[in-house]
Amino acid sequence: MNCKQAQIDLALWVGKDLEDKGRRIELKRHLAVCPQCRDSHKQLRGAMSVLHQTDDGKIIAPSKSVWPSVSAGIAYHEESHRLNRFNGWVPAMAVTAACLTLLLFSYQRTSFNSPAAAQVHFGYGSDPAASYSLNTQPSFHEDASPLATRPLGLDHSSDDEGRKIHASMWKNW
Amino acid sequence: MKPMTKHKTHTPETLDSSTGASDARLVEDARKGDREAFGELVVRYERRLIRVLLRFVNNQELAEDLAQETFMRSYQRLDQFDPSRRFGPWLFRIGVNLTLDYLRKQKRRGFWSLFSESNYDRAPDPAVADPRTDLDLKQEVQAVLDQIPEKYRTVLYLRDLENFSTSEIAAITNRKEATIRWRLAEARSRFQKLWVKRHGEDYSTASTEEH
Repeated sequence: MNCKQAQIDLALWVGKDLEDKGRRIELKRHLAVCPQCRDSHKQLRGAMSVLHQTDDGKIIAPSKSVWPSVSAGIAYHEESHRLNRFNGWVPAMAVTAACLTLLLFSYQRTSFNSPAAAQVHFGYGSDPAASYSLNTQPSFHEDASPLATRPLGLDHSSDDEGRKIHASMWKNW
Repeated sequence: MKPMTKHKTHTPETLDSSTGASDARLVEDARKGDREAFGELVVRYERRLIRVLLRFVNNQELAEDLAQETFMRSYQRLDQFDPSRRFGPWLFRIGVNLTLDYLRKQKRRGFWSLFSESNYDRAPDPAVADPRTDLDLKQEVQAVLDQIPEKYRTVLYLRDLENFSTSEIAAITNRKEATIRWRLAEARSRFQKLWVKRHGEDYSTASTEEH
């Protein structure tokens, strides 16, 4: 055994942690012939003794059990975890609702701006007397069936008398 | 809060396997949502845990706070606990790691405070005994221990001051037992050298009994 190995084994031996009996015997043999390692052994025992002296062996009792605080902490954590899980849904739902509203609004605008939807016919059924598109001057169909005396209304409207407008009004307009 | 009467309470001073089976049952109950069972584990281990953490932080109130945080974290991580292993070393691993993390943060804060404008009294050179202050033995030993690197100091605390076995320390620190033995030998050697450097060879109160 060399001194380097002896130093390691000595440090374990002073704390009764050198379990290998063969190594213990070898270490004792080395100590018998090595004054330097014997000094080191003495110093190690002194240092370990000082270290153990500082350990008064007193079992430090906590001022009170930490369990009430731990229990309250666990309850708080579980509650906040539950709320966080719920709170996660609220923004998700809000975003979804906003997206749906936006989608609906844009769909309505697209439908309103399309030529087919913007074309308004006046007259009965498939016999329009007048029609106009948005932002354009209305056109009148004079060769159509007599309109001058016919009440004018939206092609899908009922026969509401209040909506009767004479086509000649549009000629002078 | 309801008094805990369901489980028999006892406080282990070691992490031996005699409490293993019972701990396993309590852990199993706690995992199923039985908070009272976890309360039993807290009561069982709190004294020992606070005592161990006190070695690292030297402040009773802080040790109790760290123990409380340790139990909180262990409860939150119960699903990660391997039931085939012992609860004690697993709990102490969380506690020791938490405490070491805390101390590292404090150390970093101390480092940055060197560059701040606040007054900072630098610690005297630990290699030379401070003649101005009459430190008692405990403080002297602590001053030397503070000079030992963390990985060695941790093993020294757990083995020589808290009497954990090397296998228990291996479980707590998540290292091989051979590594722990090597670190233990290194830690004792370093402590001896620093102590002799600080106080000389005459300051020895060692017993001369042979093994």
